[in-house]
Amino acid sequence: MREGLLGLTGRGRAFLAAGVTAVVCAVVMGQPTLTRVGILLVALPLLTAFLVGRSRYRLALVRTVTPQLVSAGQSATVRLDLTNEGRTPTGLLLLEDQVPYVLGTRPRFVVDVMTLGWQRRMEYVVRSDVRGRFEIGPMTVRVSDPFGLVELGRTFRTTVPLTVTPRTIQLPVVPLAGAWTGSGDNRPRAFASGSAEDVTVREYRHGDDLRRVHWRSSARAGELMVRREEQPWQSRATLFLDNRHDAHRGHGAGSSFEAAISVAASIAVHLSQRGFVVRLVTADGEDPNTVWHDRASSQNTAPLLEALSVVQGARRTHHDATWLSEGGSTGLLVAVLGDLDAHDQPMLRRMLHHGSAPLAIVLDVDAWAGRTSRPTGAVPTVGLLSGMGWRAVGMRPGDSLPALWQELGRRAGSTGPRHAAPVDVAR
Amino acid sequence: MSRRTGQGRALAAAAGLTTWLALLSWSVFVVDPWTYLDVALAGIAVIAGVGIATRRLRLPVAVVVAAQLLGVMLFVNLMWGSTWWPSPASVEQTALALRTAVETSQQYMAPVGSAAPSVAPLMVSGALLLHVLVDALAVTLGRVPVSGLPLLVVYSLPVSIVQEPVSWVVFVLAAAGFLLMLVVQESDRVRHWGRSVDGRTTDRGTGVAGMRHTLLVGSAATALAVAVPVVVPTLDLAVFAGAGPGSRGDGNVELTNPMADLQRDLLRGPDEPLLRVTADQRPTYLRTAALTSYNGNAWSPGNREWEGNEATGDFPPPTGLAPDVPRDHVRWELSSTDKFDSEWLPTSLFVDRLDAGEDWAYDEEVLDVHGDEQDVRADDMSWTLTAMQPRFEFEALTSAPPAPFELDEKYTALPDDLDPLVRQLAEEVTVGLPSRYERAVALQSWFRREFSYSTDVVPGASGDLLVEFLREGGRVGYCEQFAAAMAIMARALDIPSRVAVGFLSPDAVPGQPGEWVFSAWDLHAWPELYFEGAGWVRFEPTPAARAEEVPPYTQGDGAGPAPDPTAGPTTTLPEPQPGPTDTRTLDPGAAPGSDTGAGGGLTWLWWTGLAVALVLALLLVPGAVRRARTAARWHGDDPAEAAWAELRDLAADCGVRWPPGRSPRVTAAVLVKSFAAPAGRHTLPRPATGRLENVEAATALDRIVAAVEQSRYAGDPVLPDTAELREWVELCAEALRGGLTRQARFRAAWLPASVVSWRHVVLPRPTLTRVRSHQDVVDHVG
Repeated sequence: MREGLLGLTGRGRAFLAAGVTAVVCAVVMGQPTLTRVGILLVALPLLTAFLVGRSRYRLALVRTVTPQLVSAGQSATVRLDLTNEGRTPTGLLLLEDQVPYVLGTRPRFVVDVMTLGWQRRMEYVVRSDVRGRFEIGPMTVRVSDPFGLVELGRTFRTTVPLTVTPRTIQLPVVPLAGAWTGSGDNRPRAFASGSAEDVTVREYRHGDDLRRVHWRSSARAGELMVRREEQPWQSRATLFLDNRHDAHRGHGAGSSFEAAISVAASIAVHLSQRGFVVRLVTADGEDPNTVWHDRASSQNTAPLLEALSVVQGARRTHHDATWLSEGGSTGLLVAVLGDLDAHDQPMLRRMLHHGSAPLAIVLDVDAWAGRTSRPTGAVPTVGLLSGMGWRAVGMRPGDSLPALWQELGRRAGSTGPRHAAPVDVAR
Repeated sequence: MSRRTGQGRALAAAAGLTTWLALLSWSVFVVDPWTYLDVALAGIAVIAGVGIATRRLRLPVAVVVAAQLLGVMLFVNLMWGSTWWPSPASVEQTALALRTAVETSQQYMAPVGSAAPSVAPLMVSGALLLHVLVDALAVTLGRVPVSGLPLLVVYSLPVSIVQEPVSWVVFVLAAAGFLLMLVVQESDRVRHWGRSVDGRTTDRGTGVAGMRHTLLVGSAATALAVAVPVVVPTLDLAVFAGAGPGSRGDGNVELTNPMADLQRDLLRGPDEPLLRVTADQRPTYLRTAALTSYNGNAWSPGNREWEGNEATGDFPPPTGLAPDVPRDHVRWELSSTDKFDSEWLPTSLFVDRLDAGEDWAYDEEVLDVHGDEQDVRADDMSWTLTAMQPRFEFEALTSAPPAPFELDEKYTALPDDLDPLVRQLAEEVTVGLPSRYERAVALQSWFRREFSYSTDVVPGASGDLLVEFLREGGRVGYCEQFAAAMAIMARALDIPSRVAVGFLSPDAVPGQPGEWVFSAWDLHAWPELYFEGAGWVRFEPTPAARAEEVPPYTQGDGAGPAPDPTAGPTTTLPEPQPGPTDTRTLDPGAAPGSDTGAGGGLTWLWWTGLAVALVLALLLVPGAVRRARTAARWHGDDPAEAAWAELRDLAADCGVRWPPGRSPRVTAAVLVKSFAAPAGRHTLPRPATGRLENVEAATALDRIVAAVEQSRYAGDPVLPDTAELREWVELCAEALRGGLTRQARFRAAWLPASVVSWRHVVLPRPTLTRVRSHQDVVDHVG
């Protein structure tokens, strides 16, 4: 009852106030006709509040989203299985799923009759043109009454994530260097025979098998150390994305940052399909979800795309270079870069040393801001990078990524790979 | 501006219906409500139709309302101007009808009879304008609660105008209509809010269960609204009534405009007791007011001057009454009930002394008593007076000299357009009589002889009605018309005259000698004619059916034609039951008592029989309830649980212990100890019990337990037939009953203990939510 009274809507409160006023006036002035009206107005919200507040129901909801990972522009289906596990509730149930506005209108359902053991399946479709990770839910339940006098709100708790990955473009197969090269941990080493001290160890990294922990070294070093062991060789690639705020222009979906992410995603998918194990590195450093794993399947692009769908602009001026200092090769290095300035040159040089003839796609960020319209090929940073030894192409808003990728492949051919033969493992 | 087009049809219909139902309350204004109800319904339909059409065209609100107002105009023009398209003539006709209606409403008191010029144009126009407001608020603007205000105006108008309470039936109907509007609008809103899960998005917003809830709340609230005001005390603080009486309560008998109210109170109202008089002799002819001027349409009190003549103390001597006329003095103590809502204070015809308090004042010339200020009412007060009763002599009156000039001029004034028939008749009736007084007596006799009394006629004394009344073939009427007609005819004969309104004769209060009661049906009107030397002399032209006696001084020798036979000396003694030909019983008080006395013996027998039947019926109730419960139980969707609940009730009926909170198996093990062979002719008084006594029933019980376990614990229960289960339960029942003594068996059958148990409900099988994969999480709310 108390709950029902607290849930009185504006209309319910107005009825109550008007009714009380009418009854008081009628009693004072002796108008039984008015008393009737007043009592009707008072009784209506009170009875409704009593009935709605008394209604005991227990709803169970199971929410499923298929698929949980969609590319921007694709749609996913949300399925709601609603069961009444309690008694028959009195009143209308207004269900509304809390869906981020990016995914479309919030689906609303009205349940007016809910018998014991009532079960329904409801489905709706969500679709986003913007990458990101979205929480679908929780569902709110409002119990209303047919007169609109009382409304009680309750909310389910569970949400289901939906990841919308950036749009990707199919890239043409071009000769790429770097296969079999990146193998920091993977390079087979002959163990010095017998001596445990000779075991090559490195720091424990997230994802390492606990069986590889070298306890003796760990005890000495004061932190977990793992043995480096022989592993099958993998073709590895590092995808570097410059996600610093200052390096990009524009806002929202039309910004150069989003374009860079789309480019990075296309390249990541392409490389994965060609058999590379790709890790993503941003200005914040290595992405923990995409570090090279021993048994990571190159075909699974989901972690990469998921990582790319949640990449945010970083508010920092310098790149985090720790991933370079760990030693070893970066494998095939592909960089998607924005605006570069003098601070970045040491970093770029270091990357050059770690990788083998790295590739770069440099976005002409000012063109996204709509400020300049230089002729093609005059992206200044391209020249700078080429001078350092990178193979780089510039990109403008209207440019076709496959064409640029082909161009990049041609440059790779012209400068010549360090290794004898570019291996094309794409099927 | 909220405009939701295309959805307002149901709401518009509901709003129209509600307004029309609220209009039912206006039926107190007219005698025949169908004079306005049908037309109003058609008009409301027009407004709703125009609203629906214009809203569909998505016109702005102002245009919608304007179109509806135009519709009202055209409709009114069609109804009373009789053409579709307004022409100057039809507009004039309509305006005339409206003006007439306004005049009628001002002249007549509610309820207005069918013969009076119709008030329907006014009522219908008003109703339609109010409905335009209701429709605009509720449908066009989507503010249904606000539209309750104009509906309240419609509903409460009768209360504010005629102070008559609205019937609860009308209230229930109007409230139902308003609730319907709320529901329609709310279901509309909900339908637009989201889609229905059950797929019924288009036609109805609420389903059967929702409808049940709606009906429950709506009817409960309405029932409360009807019932509660009965016990709510109305304080009636009379905050705005000043010194006067405040309540405009129910059923008051009003005397504001004396003549106009007369017929209503006389005919329509209940026979309310109004005045109580304590006097030595039966007091007759209590005058409330005198109407001194006739304008061709009606008698009215004329211009009066009351100021300063406080009606407490000695009165001035009556106009024209010579001091030498012998007179009697009688003391009356009067008190009025709270139903007597009059601006005028009833007094005797000639007053010697009056003690009525300072609120009242008398008119110097007419000597009737009126409230000194506005809103002074004569209800619920008491006053005393000394009445003077002059004993007029027939001879003295016949020789009365002409009246003084001013008085003569004022009280013989007649409108110029008076129908010549009136004058002609007056002269025909009185031809050859020498004195004015004899002529007056002849007029009275003529009325009493040639006319008949009936209350089923049109009220009023306007020119046409007067002629209608006087012409051969007419000549049916009631006191108002007799008094008015005789006064007019007396004026035509140059006798100064006026009409008095008051009470005819009271009923004696049974068992209290000297107490008399005037009630609403005793209201009366009579003419008073002036004769120099005697003053204003009362006449009684109303036939004996109503007024049996004529004044004694009009019965003297040579009074022209013989007096009315029924008014002869044989009826000089007033009978306690006046008006036998009147269709209404004026004093129904004594009748019921004798009836009850006669039928006493039979009644006792009847009551005893009824009581016995009632006790028998009550004794049958528990068994019937028990059987109904069983029948209902088997209709549920879980037969195993039904069987289990039935067993539990059986155990309760038979007084067998049912272990609480145990598993079915343990319970069955306990239960089976009470099993015995089915009761028969050779059953011992205390039969042996146990599993082995009735193996068949024990097996059945085991099967029931198995079914219950299946139902409760199996993921996909396999249940036996309901028929099979019933059979098993029946076996168990017989086994249980077999173990009882004869009395206990009888008790189990007719006064089953399980009826008073609260645990008779079949527990529903809990609904389980099944998940499809390990990722799915079941979320709960409630």
